[in-house]
Amino acid sequence: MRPARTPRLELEEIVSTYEEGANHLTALDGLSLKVADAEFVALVGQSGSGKSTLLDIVAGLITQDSGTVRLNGQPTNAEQRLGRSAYMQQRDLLLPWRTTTGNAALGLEASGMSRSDAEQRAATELWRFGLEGFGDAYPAQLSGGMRQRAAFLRTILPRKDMVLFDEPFGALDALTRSDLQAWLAALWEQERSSVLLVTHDVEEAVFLADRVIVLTPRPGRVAFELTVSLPRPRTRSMIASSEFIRDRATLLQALGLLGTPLP
Amino acid sequence: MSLPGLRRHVGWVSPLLLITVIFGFWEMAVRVSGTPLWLMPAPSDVLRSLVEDKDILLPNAFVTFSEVLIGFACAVVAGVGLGIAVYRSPTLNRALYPIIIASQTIPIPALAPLLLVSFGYGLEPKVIVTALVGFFPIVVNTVEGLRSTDRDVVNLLRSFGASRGKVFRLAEFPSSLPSIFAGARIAVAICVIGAVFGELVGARAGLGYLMIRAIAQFETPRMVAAIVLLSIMSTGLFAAVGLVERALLPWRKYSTVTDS
Repeated sequence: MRPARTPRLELEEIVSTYEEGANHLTALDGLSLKVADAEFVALVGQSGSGKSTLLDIVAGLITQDSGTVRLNGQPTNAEQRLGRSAYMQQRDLLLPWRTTTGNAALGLEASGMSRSDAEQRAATELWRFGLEGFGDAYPAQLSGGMRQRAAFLRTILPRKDMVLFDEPFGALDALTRSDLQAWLAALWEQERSSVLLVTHDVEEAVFLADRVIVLTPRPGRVAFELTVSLPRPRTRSMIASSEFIRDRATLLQALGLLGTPLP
Repeated sequence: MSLPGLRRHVGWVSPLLLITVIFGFWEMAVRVSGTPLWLMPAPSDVLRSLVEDKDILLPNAFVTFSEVLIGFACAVVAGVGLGIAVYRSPTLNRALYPIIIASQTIPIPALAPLLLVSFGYGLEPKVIVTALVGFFPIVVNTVEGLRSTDRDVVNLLRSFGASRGKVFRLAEFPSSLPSIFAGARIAVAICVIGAVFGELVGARAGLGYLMIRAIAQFETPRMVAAIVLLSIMSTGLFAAVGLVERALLPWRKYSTVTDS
């Protein structure tokens, strides 16, 4: 058993650059952060602050130029990180030829489980994701919210060390988004996964996360960090609370969106 | 009846109507002008030949049909197999794909006489020509279909820990199937042309062989009847590929991305 204090994820001085045409651009410049076990951390920052690059690095899809990524205290290279986290993007990426159950099982299948076992596991969880009765439907037959919930199920089911969300509500309409945020907050209470959520929606970050990290515009670095003062479990009514409003204002200010420049 | 059902019905009615009008006009023109039968038979003459000569037509149609089926099956197996190999191996892609593309500048039917010399008058040269003409659309569509796989899906599966083989099985191959079927539909129609061409060059049976014989004997209605059978064969095979596609890819009818 690893000691409880070891962070799930530890990023130390991550530098990541990429080529765009003839330009040599720096996406991340010495970024460091930690995600504790069962901690929900949100990353906010303006477009181009390297948030998605960061998730790609944690997922093992790209290699950082320098810096260390530790999972459960162990330094890892990109190859070793593949299969350690569950990644979910803004696009649901459901396979059109698979039913809801088949799509939900995909994460388990990719992790090595047989298709029938994976689908059996997925089928028993459909109800928790509001997909009961839609197990045999194809993605094209589902609403946007249901498709995204199917993608959440695919992400959660393999129970990986880290859950990575890259603007998972970005493609949804405002009402569906608000519904799904409340639903995800309730789901997290049951799952207690270690989550790294990338978003540019400050309210979403405050409502869902334990801690919010603000990144500087490119190159990305940690500009500001806030421990959310809302208690758990989160409920929809909290968005009217004074804590929520204060935290939101603090973050907007840190992002330079309240007219006051960064400290 | 639902609206899409009705529309499908209407979709069948209008070409049928047009064909009836054309055939009616054709029949009238031949009768009024008194064109001799050996020069241009009327639709009714062709119909009569279809009924009266069925003992000659059908066995020969069966020969052509076998050539097409065997050739098409070879084209599918070789085309999909090579397409996958070219996609998965960068070396093969560099070495083989340009050759495959370049090979298509060879007019394959022109190879038929050469094949006749090597393989004689039997089934083999026709099957080879058929397979060669059907191969190209299938291999190209296989490679293009595989290449069209959503990169984000590939990355998603990799991040879950899927091996390259598993990514292929779970995402790349299924992604390519609609494209492979589109290639197969084109291939099956031109396979019929390939088989007939092989027969025209030299054969002892088949509809192409029958056409040459009919022309030589001024049996023009029988020749046209053979052409009618060929079109029925092409249309039937084209539809059959569509049916197989619908059975194997049931999700496509829900897909928002429509194709023709």
